[in-house]
Amino acid sequence: MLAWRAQLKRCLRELLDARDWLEIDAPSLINTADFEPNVALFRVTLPDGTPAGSLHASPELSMKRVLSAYPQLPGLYYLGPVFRAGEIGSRHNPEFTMLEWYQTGANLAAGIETTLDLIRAAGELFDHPTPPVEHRQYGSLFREHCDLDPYAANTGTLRTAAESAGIQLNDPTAMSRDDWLDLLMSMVIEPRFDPGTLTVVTGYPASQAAMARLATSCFEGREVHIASRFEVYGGTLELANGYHELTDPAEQARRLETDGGNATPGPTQLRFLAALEHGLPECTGVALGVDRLLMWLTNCDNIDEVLPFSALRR
Amino acid sequence: MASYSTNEFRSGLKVMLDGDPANIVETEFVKPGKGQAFARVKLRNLKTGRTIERTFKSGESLEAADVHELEMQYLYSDGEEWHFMDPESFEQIVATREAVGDAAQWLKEQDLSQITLFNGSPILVTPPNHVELKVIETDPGLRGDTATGGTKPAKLETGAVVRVPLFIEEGEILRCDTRTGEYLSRVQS
Repeated sequence: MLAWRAQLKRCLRELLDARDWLEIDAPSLINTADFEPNVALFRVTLPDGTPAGSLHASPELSMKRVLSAYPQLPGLYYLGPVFRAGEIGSRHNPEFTMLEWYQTGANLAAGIETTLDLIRAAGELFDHPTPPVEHRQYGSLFREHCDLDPYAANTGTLRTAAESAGIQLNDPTAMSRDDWLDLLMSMVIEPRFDPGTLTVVTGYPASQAAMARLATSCFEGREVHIASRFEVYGGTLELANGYHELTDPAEQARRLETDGGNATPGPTQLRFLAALEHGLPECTGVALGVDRLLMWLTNCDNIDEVLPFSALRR
Repeated sequence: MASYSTNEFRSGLKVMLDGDPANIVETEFVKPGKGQAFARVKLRNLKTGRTIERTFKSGESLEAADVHELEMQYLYSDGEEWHFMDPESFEQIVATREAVGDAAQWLKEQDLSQITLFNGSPILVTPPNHVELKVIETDPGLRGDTATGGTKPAKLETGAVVRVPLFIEEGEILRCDTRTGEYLSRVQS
């Protein structure tokens, strides 16, 4: 497994280097407030206890700053650790390896193709036959598996759908609309994806856009607001999350503020916003879990099997 | 009492669920990429014995349950109460018919059972996995009688009835699995 892991990383680097993309050493230690609602950052202190920043959960802010300074680059990537406090389980390790790239001049469709190309090329390295690819819309997945419209359904409808699927929540009153959608997606819909297929999902609701552009789409005859976002699953396993990146600094500042619960932004965030003011080129950014990819390629159920030292075993 | 947050949940943890003490059997962490994290937990109600599944938002918590398990020796019973003794402290406790349940048919004097205590009172008695009990009643096996699949019922000294091979006679000591209720082997005395 150690050899496979090393070979996979080498293969991914070779594929991206062949496109003349630059590997960037985004710093693990950054200075931000929590700005993503569902991601908890590890906080770091100096020996005397003075706060010294946090460990990054994604190299995004640094990567976009580089891209704003060098917009002529065809692309850049980060291959290294990211840290998410409290995320531990059969598919999660608090420290995991992320391949995150930004492809300039690419729209969402181009981003999806690049992601599929990389996954398929990695599959060849492991002598896998080319897996089938299925493209699904978020709305139609919910219609098919939960018989509801995820863009319009209220919490009552979503709750009923969860209960019909046999999910008993301890405190259903503490759930927002997006919480219900996440629950149904991860506990009802994703487990039903075909294990041998790469499933590409688009059409995530605008409320789940993070730093992606917004778009409109048509669902069951109505116009709906969606995020320019896609996810790729290897079987039932989430592998990659991609966005047609938001470049508008005003909109980005507004989102950071609301998502961060109006906490004072840290210096890294401020420099990131300044970079956007300077100008981020059109690009699609994709975050791919390398450990997850290795699990998919080696048929492992537990992330512990692909990590030299998992948090649970350490 | 103390409480446990979802990130402290693990197999074997004793918690209060809907007013009853429960044991966490297993827990699964579920989180979509940029979404809310959940803990999907399987719990066994220690009073009713039923296993249920409950999903928690990450960060929710459950009250800790004052539950612990002790190994105690079975002393005697009057049919309504079962008396056990801690072989080290000589402390005695009394378990009700409800707490003893099916274990009653396997309890032999002096054997050690696992007693689950909740707030100091026994709520569950688990007999040892294997017990050695004497046959007190069984028909003599007739050679060639395969109508019943080559087995016959045998009543053991504690009241349990197990299916045994035809050659087993009254007075013999049998080794049985209390979890399946099956005869395993004869014990040579």
